[in-house]
Amino acid sequence: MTDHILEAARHLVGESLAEMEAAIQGLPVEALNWRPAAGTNSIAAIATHTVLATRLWLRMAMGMSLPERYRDAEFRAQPSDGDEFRQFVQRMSDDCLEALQSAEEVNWSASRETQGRGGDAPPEVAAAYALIHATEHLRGHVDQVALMRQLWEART
Amino acid sequence: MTDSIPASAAYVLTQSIQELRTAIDGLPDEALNWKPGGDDTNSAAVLTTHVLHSTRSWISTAVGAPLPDRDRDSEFQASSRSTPDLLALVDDFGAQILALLNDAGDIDWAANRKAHMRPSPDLPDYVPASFALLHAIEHFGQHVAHVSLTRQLWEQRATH
Repeated sequence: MTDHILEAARHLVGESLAEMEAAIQGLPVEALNWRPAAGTNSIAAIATHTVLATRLWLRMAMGMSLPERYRDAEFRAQPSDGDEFRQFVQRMSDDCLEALQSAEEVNWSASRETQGRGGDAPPEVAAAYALIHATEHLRGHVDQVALMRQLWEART
Repeated sequence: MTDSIPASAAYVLTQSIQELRTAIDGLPDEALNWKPGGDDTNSAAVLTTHVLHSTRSWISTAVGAPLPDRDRDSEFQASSRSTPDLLALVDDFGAQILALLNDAGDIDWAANRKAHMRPSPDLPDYVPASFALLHAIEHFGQHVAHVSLTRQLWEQRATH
């Protein structure tokens, strides 16, 4: 039987990842590391955080093993080569899409262990929550990166 | 088997609604209608008005409730007189959106349902309920992030 929630997630996550790749396409490394204002994150930091977080949450949703992750380090990302950085984002995006293809049906009520979330986060979440959170979190940051690109281009 | 999707969706949306409140709360009234990058960008008032109307409509599609009245173009002309007014709008629509999910009962995620008027004629009028739900939530997250960044930019502008 078709899992319609999984099918919708494949479509929407695929669209968002494609938009992330488009938003960083062709930007010089200065733009990737530029901060629109003091105290804000760079495009590189947000993109790094986004693809690694999405990979973690999607693998969690699908019941796969969780990768090592150092959340604070994601926000310190400062690439020295724009093309290498884009290749990294592409590889992580591919991992995300592969995770969503790893099963044809998911028990969305199943409990999944979380990892390294800290604070008052619960040790387990429903697979449904992991999928929905991954989808929503990805989309939010993609739009931030697109807006930052607009601001960079307006600045120059 | 209990469908855990609506409960998880309500949980994520509750967090997102709170993030939207946080991004607005404490802003001076003049910040609400400020556009960070000129006329090609949207103000916090526009983004908030649009995302609340849109999310209520998409969640209605997802759960098979009647579509509410909606004038999408007017959402992008919205302005707000005061921060308490805009927060009241968030609270009102937030409660309506969560009630739609909490009262939904069993949902057929494969059902094709009518959506409100789409921004492009190339987009389909009918979509699966599953798509409507996930799109509603990701679209909300998209605009909450946008409002948060708009606030950051306003605050930096105000200090220079």
